[in-house]
Amino acid sequence: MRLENTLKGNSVKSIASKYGIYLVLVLMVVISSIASPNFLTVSNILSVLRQSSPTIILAFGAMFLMISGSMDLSVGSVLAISGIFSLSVYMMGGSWLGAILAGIMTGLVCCTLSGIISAYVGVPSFIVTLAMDLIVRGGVMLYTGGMPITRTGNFAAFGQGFIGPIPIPIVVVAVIWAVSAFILNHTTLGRKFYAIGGNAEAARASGINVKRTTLFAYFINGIFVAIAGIIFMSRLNSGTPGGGDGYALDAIASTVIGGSSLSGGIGTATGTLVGAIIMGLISNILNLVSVQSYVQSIVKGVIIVLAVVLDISAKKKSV
Amino acid sequence: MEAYKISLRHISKSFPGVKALSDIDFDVRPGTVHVLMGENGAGKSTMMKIINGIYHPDEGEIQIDGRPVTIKTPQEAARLGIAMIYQELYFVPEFTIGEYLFMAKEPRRLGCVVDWKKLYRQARELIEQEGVPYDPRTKIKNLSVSDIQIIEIMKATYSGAQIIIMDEPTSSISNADVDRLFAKIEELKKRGITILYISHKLDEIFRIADYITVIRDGQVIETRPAGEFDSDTIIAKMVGRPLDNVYPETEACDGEVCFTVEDLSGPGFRKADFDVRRGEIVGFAGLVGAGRTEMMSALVGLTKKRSGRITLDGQELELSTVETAKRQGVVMVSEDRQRYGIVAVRSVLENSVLANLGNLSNLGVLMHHKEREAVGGFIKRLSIRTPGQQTLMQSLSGGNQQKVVLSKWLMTAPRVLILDEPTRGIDVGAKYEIYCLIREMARQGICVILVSSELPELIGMCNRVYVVHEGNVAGQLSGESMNQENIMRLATGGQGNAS
Ligand SMILES: Nc1ncnc2c1ncn2[C@@H]1O[C@H](COP(=O)(O)OP(=O)(O)OP(=O)(O)O)[C@@H](O)[C@H]1O
Ligand SMILES: [Mg+2]
Repeated sequence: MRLENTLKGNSVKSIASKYGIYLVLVLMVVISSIASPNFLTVSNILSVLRQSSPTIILAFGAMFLMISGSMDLSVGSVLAISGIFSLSVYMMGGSWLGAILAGIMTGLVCCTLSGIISAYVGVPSFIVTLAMDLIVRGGVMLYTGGMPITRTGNFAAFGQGFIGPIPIPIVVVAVIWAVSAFILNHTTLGRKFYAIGGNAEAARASGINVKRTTLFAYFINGIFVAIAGIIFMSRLNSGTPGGGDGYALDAIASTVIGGSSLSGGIGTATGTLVGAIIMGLISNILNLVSVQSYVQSIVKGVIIVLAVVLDISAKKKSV
Repeated sequence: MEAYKISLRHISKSFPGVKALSDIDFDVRPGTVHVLMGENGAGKSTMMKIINGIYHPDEGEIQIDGRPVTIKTPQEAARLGIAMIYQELYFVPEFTIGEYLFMAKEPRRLGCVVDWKKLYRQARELIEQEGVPYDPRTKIKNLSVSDIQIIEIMKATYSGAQIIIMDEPTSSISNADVDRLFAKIEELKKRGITILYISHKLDEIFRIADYITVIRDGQVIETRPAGEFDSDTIIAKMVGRPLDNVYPETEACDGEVCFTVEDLSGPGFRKADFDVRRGEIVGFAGLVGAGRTEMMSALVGLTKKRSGRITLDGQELELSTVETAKRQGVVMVSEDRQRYGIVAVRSVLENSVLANLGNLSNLGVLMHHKEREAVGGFIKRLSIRTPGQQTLMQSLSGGNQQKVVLSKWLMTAPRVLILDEPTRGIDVGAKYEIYCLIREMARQGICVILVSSELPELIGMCNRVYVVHEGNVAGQLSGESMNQENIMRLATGGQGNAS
């Protein structure tokens, strides 16, 4: 009798900490549909997802870094520069392949550079990427003269297009989710990410090349950031040099809400997806009930703190 | 009815997938040393952590001086006069020794600002009084496990606590430090302080125990005055059956010399020369801090060597990183489990295969069934007590974590296997299993190097023993001359009859 009780207590607790984030998502959907009758329509859901697809993709990059014990604060600017370079190449030649490759190369170069300086030179990733953010944002402003690039031709076809009934950005998110889950769960690289973030010294003592593995995390992040940049610019159908401002923190917050640990070694692809969707929903619902943007910022901040506090207290309780 | 200092009544505690303690009744008389014995995972640490407020019992009651109390946090426990030395060390790498000693009770000025000057002065006084050679401003991360353990002991014994819990306090300190600890325990006892003591070292518990409680599978099997127990009965009660052998049969080794180290120098050791035959188990004895761990770390690329030539089967090895050393078949089980051994937040499975990912994958894609099979084999072989392969490493008991670390390296099929204190924290029954495994590795032709501070272990297991003194290989012993007296003489700088 008593035993049953304790078992029940245990399982309730563990279910709450395991599925808590999904419950939050469901709760948010319920609240949103009550707050605004337009919310729970297929077209609104699709548009929310499409709108937040760049930040969702960024969250996956942030997840790989956080699992490996690093972070990237430059993703907002790198998103802008990759998107804009991609757009420029597209406008020069009109080739999709060239445009996408150019964007991805740009993202890769920026993030890999941060990765090299942080992993091989030993500067904390926080500092390297903060500096990278300033440099890249300055660079993109210089390149565009601070003005948006317009008359982009058919560039919007990517961000605004559909495959069947589903917007292309959502398809891209699905693919990135699947690829991320595959890397984390089924490859040696994924295992190494978890190990170096969980205990870098033990990973090194097990024969894992910590620096190279860290660099790989930056590498993946670079690709994701670039893809997010291309979608971002293409969806807006203009090269906005100020685009992506503040996205780095949103991405990190989504990742933490999705269950990744700021101290490394913990995180899942599905959790990140849910965390990022929750972040997107927050923005959407605040827009739908027309909350002023300054207030939105405050609300977001509060929600992030709450998420982290919940995360910490859940971990404490599980002992 | 006798007055007890501390009593547990019907205490039960479950973790997901395990019942760690069931219906524990346990009484400790004031001013005594009460020793807890039991296999790895029996529930000893859990029981102590409940008394110290880290875990909370699912049911049952704790009484101190006959009064029921609830202890929610270690701070509350401290207020009730309880202090604890934890089994798992290495908490706060960035703290200095001084900060660590006075953590949460720093001397303050005007009640708020920490008085650093006073703190470091008091820390220095304490350290001098204790007669240990530390600077209070050294950071914890720069200390060895044995140093940390000594600091930890100091911290608990000077806390002014009435009840001091010591969870395997001697697992990594030298014999001299053990003697000092035991003298301290005598002194504490005279002051009426009660001590709860956990250890797997049978020889030492009889030196200090007043009472011994044996627990098995989360239940109290028996409590008796220490005088009514002997080693054999304790083991039989712990394991549930008598244990015939401590060590497997020694086997002569007549393989050719295949692993040689010449003129190896590096931080903490100079000009080391030694060799290992194929299938030989070679021991490394020496005092704690003699430089054995440093020597071995350089062999596996964990630290850089300054000079030296290392050959295996006639080929010179390049051992600059762990990765290259592992590729060439030279691996080490580190003595520092928390720092170099485990990734606490990942599963038993992930930890077990971490050094062997290459062999368990195909083009970078993991072969999960092979992993599960390999890990399952070791869990059974070493009787690792875990609810499953997906259980997180941090929820395993200390001894079981050690077994996982061992399986991680045994799984890599090494050519040279270096074991630095491999049986630290492992119970007597499981030790035999591990010794058999080491023997078996040697029989397969692997060169085994066994670094240990337990002389009986070296003598019982090794074909030959090198003795290290202050960073130098002081000599080697084998056959009849490989005995405790000769090893100790060489280890303390005396001349030995090298053979
Ligand atoms: N935080 C935890 N979460 C889940 N299970 C735990 C946790 N702590 C301990 N356990 C489980 O409880 C049981 C008892 O563990 P405990 O640490 O008390 O063993 P022990 O007797 O101290 O062993 P050792 O001699 O190896 O230190 C083990 O099966 C262990 O896996
Ligand atoms: Mg224990």
